[in-house]
Amino acid sequence: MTTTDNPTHRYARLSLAAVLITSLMTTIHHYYRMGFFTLVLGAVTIGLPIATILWFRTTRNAVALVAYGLVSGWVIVGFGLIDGLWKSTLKLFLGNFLLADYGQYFSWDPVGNFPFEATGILASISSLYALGYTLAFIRSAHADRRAAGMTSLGWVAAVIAVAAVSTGGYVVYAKGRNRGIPPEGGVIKIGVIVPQQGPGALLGSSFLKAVQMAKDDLKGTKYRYELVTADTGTNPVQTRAAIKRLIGVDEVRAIVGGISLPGQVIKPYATYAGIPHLCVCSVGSIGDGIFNFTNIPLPEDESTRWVEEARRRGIKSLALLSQDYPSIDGHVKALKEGLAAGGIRVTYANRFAGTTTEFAPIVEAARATRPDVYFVEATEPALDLLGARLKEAGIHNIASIVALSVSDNPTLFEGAWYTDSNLADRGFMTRFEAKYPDTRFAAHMMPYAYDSFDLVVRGFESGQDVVEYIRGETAYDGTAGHVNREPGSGNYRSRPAVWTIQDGRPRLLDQPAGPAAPATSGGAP
Amino acid sequence: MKRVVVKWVIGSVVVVVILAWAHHIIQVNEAAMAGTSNTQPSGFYSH
Repeated sequence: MTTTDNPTHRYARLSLAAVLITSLMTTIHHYYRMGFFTLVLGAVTIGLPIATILWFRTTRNAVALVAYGLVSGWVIVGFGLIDGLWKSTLKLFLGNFLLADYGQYFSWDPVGNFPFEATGILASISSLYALGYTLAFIRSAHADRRAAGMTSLGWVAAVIAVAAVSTGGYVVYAKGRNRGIPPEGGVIKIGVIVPQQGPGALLGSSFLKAVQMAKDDLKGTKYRYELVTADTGTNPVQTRAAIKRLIGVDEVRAIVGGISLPGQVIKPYATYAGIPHLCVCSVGSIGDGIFNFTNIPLPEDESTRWVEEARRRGIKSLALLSQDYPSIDGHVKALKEGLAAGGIRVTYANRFAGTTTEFAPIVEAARATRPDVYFVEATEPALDLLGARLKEAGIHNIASIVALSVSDNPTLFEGAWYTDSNLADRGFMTRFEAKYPDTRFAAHMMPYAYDSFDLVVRGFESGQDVVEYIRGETAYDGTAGHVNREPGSGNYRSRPAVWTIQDGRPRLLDQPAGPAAPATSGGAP
Repeated sequence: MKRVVVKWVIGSVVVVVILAWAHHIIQVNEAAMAGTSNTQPSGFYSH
């Protein structure tokens, strides 16, 4: 048999070639993160496999074979499978594309540029070949040695054990990074994630300041608290990047966030990391009662309060003008159920797109049905465009849920009424406006933002596991009044209040006595 | 020899397709991160 036909030689060459290609790819790959230090890595990952295989070729020594197996195993597992396959290939194709909604289960590393990811993918492909050829080479070399009466004990097991331990160690390290209780006096980071750009920036800015105020109000706490703020961005890709950074890099131990859509993106990450997520958002399904909790009235609570007020005002019919948007759809769905129960008739309903600019036909069609009140709910800019059209048409009998509080031009809705957060602590608004005179007070979320931060802090200060504490906290009195949650439910609920637009500003109307918000878990859409 | 050539051609095509797909995903991701993606309705996080 010639040297070329000898399977040990053939597998040795193929194994070395595949290992060296993996080393080369991983060296280029790491260049994009580590710069010129990569030359050292390259020298080691290319030099060691060559040196050890030459050693084995010269001596046929079992130690040399084990050394080659270990070095190859390091390159294959460490750089090919973990760096290349896990942190590039699977992260890219599954974590950020095919299974993006389950991105928490894949590498949280940010997506790099094309050369970086391409070399990672190529390293993962070559490492699979390297794995196959290296195992074939070791088996063949072992057989040769046995035939020559040169057996040694346990070396195959050693290679596998080292590779397994390195992989296991890495996984344990990656999973355990965010664990551990800080010592008394230590710093606890709390992530605050809200929109800081786009149409949600007004709410986001107010939200951040409300949380900042809650932090400034802390006195004599066992731990020091640090706020780490993040921008949800304007789409799920940006939200995922932000939450991965908050949990994975900044290592926050709790999250306080707002707005339902990003809340839905954040939920699985909080669950995966095992940290509490308080979401000031109205989509009830975000609250699972395990790690995720919503803290704002649910659509059913808003609906109940709205119908109560409508009946008090003698309203018998209404026209529904609402935008196609998840939170609004949730309110409208709950409202329709409440109206049916309350005997109020819907004379007209129009669900328009957020990009709608021409409202004259809609307003005219609604007016033709002669409703007692026009229910309006939309986001900017559609909200004020619709408001302007209603005003031009001389229509002032307008009502809403929440939306009017975020209008850029509330004078358009002068005299209109709506349900929104209850400000049981009237001094909260006064203190806020004194502290942040240049920031508009967005009543919709702020009391809940303040209370949510406070709840998380109480959890840490309690000395017990923060998540356990929150799970057990089924009622409290905060700036938004009495808030309760049915044990096991993920929704903190409270009774909304009725507001009006007076002199171009939201004003809280005195509330008639009524039943507290039902403490049942609700399924918002 | 012929089988080897066929294997290499098929393998190369597969690798090129994988890399082209990766390039597409990276471009979509970069557009979304820059806020220039048109895959989301405007005002996505407005309320």
